[in-house]
Formats: sequence, structure tokens, C-alpha cells
Amino acid sequence: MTTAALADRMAGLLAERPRTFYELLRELDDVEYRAILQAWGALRERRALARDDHGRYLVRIT
Amino acid sequence: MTTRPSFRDVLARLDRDGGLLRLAKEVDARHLSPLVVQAEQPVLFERVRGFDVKVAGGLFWNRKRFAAALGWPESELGTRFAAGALAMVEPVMVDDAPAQEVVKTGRDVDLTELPIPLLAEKDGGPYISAGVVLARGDRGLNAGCYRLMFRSRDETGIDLVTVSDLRRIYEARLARAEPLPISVSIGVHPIEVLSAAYKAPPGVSEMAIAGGLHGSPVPLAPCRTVDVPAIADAEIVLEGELLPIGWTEDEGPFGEFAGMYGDLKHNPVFKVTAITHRRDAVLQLLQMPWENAWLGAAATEAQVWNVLKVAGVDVVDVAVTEGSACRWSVIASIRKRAGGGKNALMAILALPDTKHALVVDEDVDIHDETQVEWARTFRVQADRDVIIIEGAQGKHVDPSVRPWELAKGQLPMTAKMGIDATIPEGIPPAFYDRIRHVWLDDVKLDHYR
Repeated sequence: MTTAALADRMAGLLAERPRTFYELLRELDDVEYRAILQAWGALRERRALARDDHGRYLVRIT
Repeated sequence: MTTRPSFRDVLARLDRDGGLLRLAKEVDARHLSPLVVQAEQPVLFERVRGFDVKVAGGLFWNRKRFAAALGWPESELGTRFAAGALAMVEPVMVDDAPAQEVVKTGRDVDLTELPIPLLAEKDGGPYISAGVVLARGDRGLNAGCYRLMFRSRDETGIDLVTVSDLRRIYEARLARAEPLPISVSIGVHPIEVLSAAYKAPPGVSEMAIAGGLHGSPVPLAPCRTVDVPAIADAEIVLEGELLPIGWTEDEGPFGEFAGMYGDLKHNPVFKVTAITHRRDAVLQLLQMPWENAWLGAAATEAQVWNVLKVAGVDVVDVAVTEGSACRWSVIASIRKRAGGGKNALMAILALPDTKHALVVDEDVDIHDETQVEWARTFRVQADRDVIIIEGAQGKHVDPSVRPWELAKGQLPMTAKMGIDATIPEGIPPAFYDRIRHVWLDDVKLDHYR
């Protein structure tokens, strides 16, 4: 899976409901940790992430 | 290069002494935090899947490990720190920088080459937790320990919410809309981490204190991309700038030193312009809460020794307690004169961080919980020997001060408590004669095995 595709998968999980980074990681047990760091960085660079009141991540609605 | 040992020298010493668990089996970076927590020794992870960097963690997990990492006796954390801090040795600039054996700049900068671990369940992301940040300010070179939250291949968050020298230096740059160059040295001698974590008085260099504790100067080397030095033999150095954007980007939550989570915050961003490292580099991981808490222990104990001496108390021993994050609860043993127990309590409780203090006589080993409990039980009458001081300076991180009820900018207050567990005046010491078992010096179990 490419970095962009993994970032899309992460965005999809966060669109379902807000999650902590740990909850997101638990959904990605099949992915190498470094690939997760790379995709997380890519998602950050899209400026698409937001937080709820508990600090959980969600996808910013534009 | 100066003669003081490097981080990998410390690891080698611990290994020789049987004080390091070397794990050769490949580990998933997800599992670094839980493995460090479960290990009974500091751990060196020699192979982390997908990364070419080793990881070391748990070196400061408790008093015993922290003292071993420093190479100091457990009982001398406070006294050694106090003495070393008075004998400062300024750092020296060197040309030979092992930390620059490998240099990556520009588009080659990639923080995802480091196995930056997720530490706690509610953390806002993976964190670099053991970095010594160096920055130049108007009062000279400043060093501090700041957590860095991974954001992308060349960015991290940095927590600058709390008042600190780095925050003050950053604010001055921000007022001129200028970035602040910093270096982050990871994998340095524990004395350098300890010194950086210490809130030195204005104008006093934390790296000079580190030199005093070492008895030789800390070697620094110029960074490749920013005008600030880094520790020359660090395992890994991140060079870069704090962007002049102020407190705008999400950072946290983070499982902090007191064992509870800090809130989601808004903080500046650290833009990384270079990553340099030693060949075969080791990323140090500081596991919250106690690894961070123990970093403050030596300085707190040194402060307690100092205030007790100023108060004219004959001090025997001082210890912080781990459960109080190594700063809020203090136990001291003293050679008491009449009223000396209460005097000692007042002196200790005058320190800003101390919330609870317990004073015992010199016959009590303050590192033995049973002995301390015995003294507290049998030498204390609560109506006579417990001091409570209302309305003293508190800390937001303590939920019992109900910080959420405070108006914005209002500082919390706390009640302080002191327990005088010395033998009360008027009770003959003979009442406290301890049981001593017969022939204890003459008979040895080994003779009968």
C-alpha cells in the first residue's frame, strides 16, 4: 500500500468516529510502524486533521 | 573530546555490571513502551523492525536504576547534585563530533527513520521524550528537556505552555517574527539530561552544572544548519527552528510525569532542518511517568538538604518519594533537638513544590517503608504532630486543587501537610527500644545449610 493510500485509509477510520492515535494504531495491526509514521505525516501535511474536546483526532470537514 | 563518558559508555558500563537487558530479537516499535514498562532492568532493543536505529529505555525508572545510570550511590543523589552544581565547569566547543558521523539535511531529513514510540494510550501521537534542547538566549546558552510530538517527516510539536527559559527566549523571537534555532540532543549522558531538567537560576548554564557534576566539561559542537551547538557525542541530534507561529498547533494529550494525562494543548512547531547521528545510533526513550519524575529527584533532595541546613537542622538523610513524582512528598531524618521536628517541617514545606513532608529521627531508615510507617504510627499523635498550612502555592497538574474551577490566569493554591514523626518531647526514648533478637551476631543460617 502506498503512503497516500494508507493516509486515505487512516482518514476513512477517523471519518467513522473520532479516535486517539492509539485507537487508530489498533486498527492498523497489519501495517508496518514506519509506514504508519509516513502516512500520518502525509495526513498532517494535508491539514485535514482536527481534534474533539477529548483530544481525539477527526477529519476536518471543509 | 573530553574525558567524560558518553551515553553508549554508560550503556556499556551497565551491561558489564549486569544492569542492562539486551534484547537481540527483533521487536515491533509499537511494543517498545509496554516492554520497557514490564522489564526489571533498563532495556537495549538491538533490532527494531523497519528501522536501523537501536532503542534504549527504562534507565531512569526508579531510584536504583537512575543512580546506576548516573554512576552515583543511591543515597547521594541530593548531596552529589548540590556539590556538583556549585563547582560548575563551562562546556567546551570541539571539532570532533561523533554525533555528526552521519548527516542528513534538506529533503533527506526524515523523522520516520527513527522508531519514535507511542508511550501511553491517550497520547496525541508518538513522542521523542529524552531530548536535551539547546538554544541561545540573551543570558547565554540555555538547556532544557521538552517533549516532542511527531507530526511529519520534518516537524514535531513541542510543549512550551509552562513558563520556562526556552519559552521566554521563544517569546522574544516571536515578537520579532523570527524563528528560534534549537538543537535537540538525544542519547546523552544521564548527567546532561538531569542538568537540563533542572531549573537553573537565571544566567546559570545547565551545561556548566553538568560539567560540574562530571568534573569535566560537556563537549559541544556547532550544528550544520543552525547557529546553535549540540552535545558533540549525542547519539542523535535534531537541528532546526521553532517557527514564529506562536501557540497555534495541536499538541498532546500526554501522559505526564505525575502519572496523569495533560490536556490537549496548542503549541509551536519545531521544523527540523537536519538529522545527524552516530553510526549505529541508539534512540533513548524516557518512559513516563517515573523516568521523568526521577530526573527532578536529585535537585529536589539537594534543595531540601540546603533549606534544612539554613534552618539549623542537623540533617542525616533526605529522600523524595516516587509516588509523589519525586518532588511533592519528602522524608527527612534528623538528629533532633527539642522542637527540631517542627522546625524541619516548616523549612521543607517552604519549598514551592513540596506538599507533604515527614520528619523522623536518625534511627529510622527513610528508604525502608516499614520503618517509616512504624515511626509514623508510634511516634505521632495527630492532634499534636501534624501541621497543616492552608493557602500555599499549588500546581495546576494536581487535580485535588480543582484547577478547572479557577478563572483564566488564576493560580491554584494548595494545603500543605507536615508530620513530625520524631520521638515526642517528654516521652523517654527507652519506650522506643527496638526488639533485638538473641545471638544475632553469632549465629548464621549459612552454617546450617
